[in-house]
Amino acid sequence: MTNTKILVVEDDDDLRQGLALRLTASGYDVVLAADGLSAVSAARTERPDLVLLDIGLPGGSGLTVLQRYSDAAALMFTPVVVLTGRDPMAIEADVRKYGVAGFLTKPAENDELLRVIERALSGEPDPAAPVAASRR
Amino acid sequence: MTAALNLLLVEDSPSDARLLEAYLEEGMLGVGSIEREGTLGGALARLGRGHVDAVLLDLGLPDSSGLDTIRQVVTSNPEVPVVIVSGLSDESVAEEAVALGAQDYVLKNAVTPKDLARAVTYAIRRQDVIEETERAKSDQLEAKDRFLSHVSHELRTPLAAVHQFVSLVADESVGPLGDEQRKCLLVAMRNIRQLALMIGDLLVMGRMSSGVVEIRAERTRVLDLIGECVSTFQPLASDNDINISIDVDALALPEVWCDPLRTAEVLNNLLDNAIKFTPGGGSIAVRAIPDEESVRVAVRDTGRGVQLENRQRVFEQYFREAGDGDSGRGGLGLGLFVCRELIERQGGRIWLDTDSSARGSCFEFTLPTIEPAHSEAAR
Repeated sequence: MTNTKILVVEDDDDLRQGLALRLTASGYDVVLAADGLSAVSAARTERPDLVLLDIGLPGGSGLTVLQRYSDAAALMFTPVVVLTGRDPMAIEADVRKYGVAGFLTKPAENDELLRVIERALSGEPDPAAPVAASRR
Repeated sequence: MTAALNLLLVEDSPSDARLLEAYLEEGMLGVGSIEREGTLGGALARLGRGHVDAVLLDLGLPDSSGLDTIRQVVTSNPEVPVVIVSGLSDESVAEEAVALGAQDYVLKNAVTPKDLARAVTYAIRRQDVIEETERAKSDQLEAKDRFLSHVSHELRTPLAAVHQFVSLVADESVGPLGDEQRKCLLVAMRNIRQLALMIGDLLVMGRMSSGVVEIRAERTRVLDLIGECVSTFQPLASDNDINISIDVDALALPEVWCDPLRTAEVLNNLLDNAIKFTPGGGSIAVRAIPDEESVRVAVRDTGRGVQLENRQRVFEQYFREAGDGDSGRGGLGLGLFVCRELIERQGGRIWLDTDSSARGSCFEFTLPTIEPAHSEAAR
């Protein structure tokens, strides 16, 4: 049986590696992308079960990536959890238009990160939606 | 001197007007035109059409007199410099005129052509300087907000990396740890959390002053919000041996009109505070009850409470009680200030229940059950 595969899209090398280690330690297979373009191509070739997506990215922001995913029949149902350093009040509503499965602010607590990922993978509706503006 | 100046002389006495016009033409270079109005109404109408570089204003007009004349001209045309030309030598009136926004006050029967010209020229220059200063000030404020937002955003990613790597070591994902090492890393983790809170506050400060906080009210089930927020804090509460309970009669509770994101931010803030100030073994209860045309939500804890003398002040900007820093989980003292802002913008109220007989503290807020008259009420 194959493991659940998560695509981590993050342009900061250290954080990308840190998240990869964290998710690997939690039993997930991890593939990586560092910019918007490869976020789209990696999603097509790797077919991840979930995408953990940064918003401030070179080569097409996370919002553009969300747009591309929602335009692509093969990707439109892949759950996306957004993890961003941007002001949630400024961008969360825009991000939510794409029906993301979770919205987290950097640095997210690991408990919460893993909980949101698990829930997104289980396909449950997203009761976390309003909580995403959490200051924590 | 730049283009020819267009002056507006507001004077009801034809002879005074002729004299002043003659003075201006004699004493002042660069006068393009001098228009005259004999009433305040006429003057305001002329100003409404624009292209007036300065106003010479008599205070005694058929339809207005005294300081009120200045008030009307200045408030409707704050960008046009006004020089008062008065027959009345009264220092206190002159001072008040300037306080109301007039640039100068000259006496008709004492002024020379040169003086009058100088008064008008300087009035125009001063008005330019004021406008430049105000433009610079608003540019600076905007730059400050942009800076805060940028810094806050840029700090988050490296902090998230630090957080991730420290936590990987702390929870032994990358190898076993001794007790002493684990203790050290827990201190590091606590401080990382505190930094994250402070960075969040920086952001809040910027956006509160720039007004980017948008409220999108929709029909919302408060119980769902409470449930989700409480479940977010459950792990932190258990870690601190604190019990959180929800006491809501779901059937009796009407839906409210609120922005779920903003309301969740308020609830998260209150829960975070409650946990921060409640010692192990304590408890936190969240209640929601219908209250006239609103729903009242209360977050009560069994913590140390708020000092009597500080109860009015907890919602102030930067307010922190002495000892807030002890737990290492404090922010910049903006949490409750932001809560109040967010709740009031949604048409609700927030307060600290001051029942001194109760232990701990109890924060309550209301959210309307009827749709706000117009959504912009929340802005």
